Amino acid sequence: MNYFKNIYIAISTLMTGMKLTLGYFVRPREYVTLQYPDEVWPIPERNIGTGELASYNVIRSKLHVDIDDCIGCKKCERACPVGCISIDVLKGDKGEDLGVTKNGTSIKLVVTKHQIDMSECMFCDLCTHPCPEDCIYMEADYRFERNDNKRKDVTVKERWRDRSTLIYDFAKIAQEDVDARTAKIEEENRLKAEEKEKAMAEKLAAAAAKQTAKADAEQTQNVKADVETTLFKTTEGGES
Amino acid sequence: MIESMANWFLSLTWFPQMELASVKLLSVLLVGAGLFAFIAVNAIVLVYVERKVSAFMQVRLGPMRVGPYGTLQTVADALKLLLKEDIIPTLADSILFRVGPFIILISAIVAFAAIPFSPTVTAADMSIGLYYIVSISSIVVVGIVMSGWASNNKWSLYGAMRSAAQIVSYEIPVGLTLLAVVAMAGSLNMNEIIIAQGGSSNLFHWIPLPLPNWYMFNNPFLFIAFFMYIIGATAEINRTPFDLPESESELVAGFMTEYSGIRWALFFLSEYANFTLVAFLTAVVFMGGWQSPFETIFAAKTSLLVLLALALAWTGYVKTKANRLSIYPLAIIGLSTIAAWLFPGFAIWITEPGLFWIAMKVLSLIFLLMWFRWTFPRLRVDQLMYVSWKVLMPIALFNLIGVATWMWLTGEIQF
Amino acid sequence: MGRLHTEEMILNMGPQHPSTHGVLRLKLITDGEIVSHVEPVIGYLHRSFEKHAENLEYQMVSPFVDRADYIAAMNNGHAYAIAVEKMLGIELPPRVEYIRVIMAEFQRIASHLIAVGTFGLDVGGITPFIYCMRERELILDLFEMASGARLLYNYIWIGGLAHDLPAGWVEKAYEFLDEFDFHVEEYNRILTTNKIFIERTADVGVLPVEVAINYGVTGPNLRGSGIPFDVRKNQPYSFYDRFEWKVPVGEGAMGSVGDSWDRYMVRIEEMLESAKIIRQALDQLPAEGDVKAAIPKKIRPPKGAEIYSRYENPRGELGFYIRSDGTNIPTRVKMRSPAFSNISALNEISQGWMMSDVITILGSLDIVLGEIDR
Repeated sequence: MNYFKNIYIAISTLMTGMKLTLGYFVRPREYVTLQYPDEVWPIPERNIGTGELASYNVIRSKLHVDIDDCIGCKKCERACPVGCISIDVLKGDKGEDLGVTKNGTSIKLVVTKHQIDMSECMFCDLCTHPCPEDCIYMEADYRFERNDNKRKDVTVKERWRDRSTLIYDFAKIAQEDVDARTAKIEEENRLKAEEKEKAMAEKLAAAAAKQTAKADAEQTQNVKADVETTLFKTTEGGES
Repeated sequence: MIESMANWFLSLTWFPQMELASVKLLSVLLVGAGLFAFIAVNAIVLVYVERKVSAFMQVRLGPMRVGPYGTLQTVADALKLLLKEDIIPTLADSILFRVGPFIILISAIVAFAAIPFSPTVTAADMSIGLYYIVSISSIVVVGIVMSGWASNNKWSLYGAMRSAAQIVSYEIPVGLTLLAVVAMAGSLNMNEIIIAQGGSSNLFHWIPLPLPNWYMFNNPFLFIAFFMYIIGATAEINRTPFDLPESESELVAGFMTEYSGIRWALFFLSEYANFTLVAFLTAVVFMGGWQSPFETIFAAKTSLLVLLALALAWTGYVKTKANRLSIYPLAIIGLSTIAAWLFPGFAIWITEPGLFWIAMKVLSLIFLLMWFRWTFPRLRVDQLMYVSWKVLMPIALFNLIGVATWMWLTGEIQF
Repeated sequence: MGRLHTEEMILNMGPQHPSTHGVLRLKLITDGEIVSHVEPVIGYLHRSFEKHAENLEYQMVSPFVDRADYIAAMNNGHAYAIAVEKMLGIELPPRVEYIRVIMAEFQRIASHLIAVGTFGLDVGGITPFIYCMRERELILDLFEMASGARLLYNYIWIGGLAHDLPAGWVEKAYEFLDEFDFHVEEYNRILTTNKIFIERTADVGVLPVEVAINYGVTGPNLRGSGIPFDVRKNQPYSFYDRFEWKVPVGEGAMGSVGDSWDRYMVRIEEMLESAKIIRQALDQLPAEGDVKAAIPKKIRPPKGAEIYSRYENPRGELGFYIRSDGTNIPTRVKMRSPAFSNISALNEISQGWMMSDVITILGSLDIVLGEIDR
């Protein structure tokens, strides 16, 4: 009897399943799949209540920096767990007015480089919160794809490995300006370093003279060589 | 058909004077090419249909990109497979590896020779048609075992062994259910089996049910036999819930794991050829083949009108944009019905109604098998054997006795 | 004719096998279809999370925690946050706790939906998987609305949440819950009660209670064996003691207690229980309130402080052991991964079963390789 009961249960339960799939087959119903590039899933409106920035209230897809408001505090760089943000700053000239942010903070540093490598970013949103000026935030633009299949200057494999288009540089400062500022600062540094070097060389020479006087006649040559290497190393270190 | 074709060739004035034997050979080649073309096109269409059916059952859209509503998707896929690199593993038995897919495909195509598409369109109207089909289609096992062994891959071997065990086991209940029909019809000739199913049902002639005298409705035993045959046939063509030889979640891809490109396409082709073959066989043996189900009830034209009305009702019922896709086949039926009714002779199913009716039956059976596939989980090997030997076999034997008793009771045979 | 010579075959399943749920490799010793030994080989997804955490500040660890169990990221973040907060001794506003519970339970439903769907896939049914994914998408929509991400949220932070719930979120959550029971009924119709499914899973891979406890199996797998152990009930954290719900256990309805079907059914029932918890939490959710507790900018737990905090992840007991040396970087973060313990019982329970059953059993254990390898 169990045997027939089993067969009956099998048939009836299989029919239940078949009814369900047939129901979906014939019933008018909204399909859940989308024709992706033509139709896109609506990005939810995420009014989280902070309210000042319209573009802040959207999903996390791409980092954006309002570079005009950036004060170069590097807080976002330090907060990033994967190190995809790299910031370079230069000191402004004495008395130079670099403007104020929308929060009213006056900018002290010139941001020469604010680079975000989106191929390394893990969208954790940790960098946006420490920002004192609310100038770094996530945008809803999730379409990073690009069609560069027609590029002929690189091989296919290089093209795949190439992620330079995913590295976003937000710094707006012109290269000449950077060069000029860098040159100025370098000049200052060089003068300082030269002075330092001079003092160092004098010190070393004195020490060497002292040692030479102390050493035996047979070892004179070796000691000289030693001193020379030390000197060479010092100068090299100073330059780098 | 070969005979008539050869005679037709000879009757043509421009046809070169040849011996009858060579003309026959030419006809055979032509028919073979025709069958192959039919199978290839059929596979391409069925793959598309299957993808759409599965998509609708799974609340998806299915292929939509290549061609209108994705109709050219399988064509594109086939082209891609043709252009792919032909990989033969280094340690594979390269001769058997190459031969395997062809054996499977050939056995599937050759079996079609005995299928009656309509009273006149039957490649070889042989007296042992049913027996021929059943025996030829078992050759598939040889090809599967061959390619599974030759791949030199453990998964392939598992798939091949499972397949061998499965197909051999299911041959028996399937053969027994067919035997019941043969006993009723008293013939192995496919056309004679169909003709025996004409008229109205002798089972239901005392109830006012307009059922045709198909074997499936002939008596309760054959009604059970019909479903048993469907189950057995599903197992023989390795489809879910009996798709163990190629079960993708267990054996990666079973016996076709190592195949790629055109050789893999041949497996696919033969799978769908076998699929269609089984549907044809069921339609012929249990559902009256090329006979119209309505002949006893309505006139042919009226029955077409009924179909049209159904199609229109469906169109009205289904409203959303995406779902309208699922009624396209029915809309086509409806439109062609109008054409056929207005211009008799325009459509082929007025001159050859058999083609239309058998196509309808085969399509609905194919849908049934697809429906199975996209609903059920898969059985385990031992459960598969249980179903075959402990469920289908006894019931098939019981059915055979039952059919014999029925025939004795209704006076078809006397002792 | 001499005796037929047979020998055992070593079968390498994975790491590219379709049913190993990621990059797991199983070394099977088989005699025909019968499997006599299963050896899981793990480590293909190793990212050295624990070592990595020793070089990051406390907040910076939390996005990496999400990535351990990537289909239950919310739960992982919650577990880590709870552990660090216990070290710091922070009291959280009630609104935060309620939202955390809601998120964690939604994530549990989403994770169980994947478990149920892929289990169906392992058994051979493709359609249930798609149905499950459909409902999971709706949950992910809710998460996206709240946190801005769909898979790795980093929503639950130490000392609060990343953001407050957006307007209209609660209504959408109610909407989902109203429809969810109906969809669970659909899974039952197409899978749970299906005879083929029952034949494939009932009595297969029975996990006896002693074996489960010896191997440290937790979560739905342990409950499937009939032990009503749930950290949420036994050691309530957050606000779990404020809700009414029961711990579903395997009863052996289709076979014996602790079989694959029981483990599956526990998940189905847990989804309904989670829905119940969410409904209560949404009802009790305070309308207003801060979502961040007052925490120092640099998180520095006292020197020498250490903690082991337990958490009920969809896969079982997720534990975090954290030791501090007084700086803002932890000296040690150890993660007790439930899936790792669960998979270790695989060999014990799948011996003597067929190859297809090994896949079923593996599916019923519901492992996530990201969490096993970390």
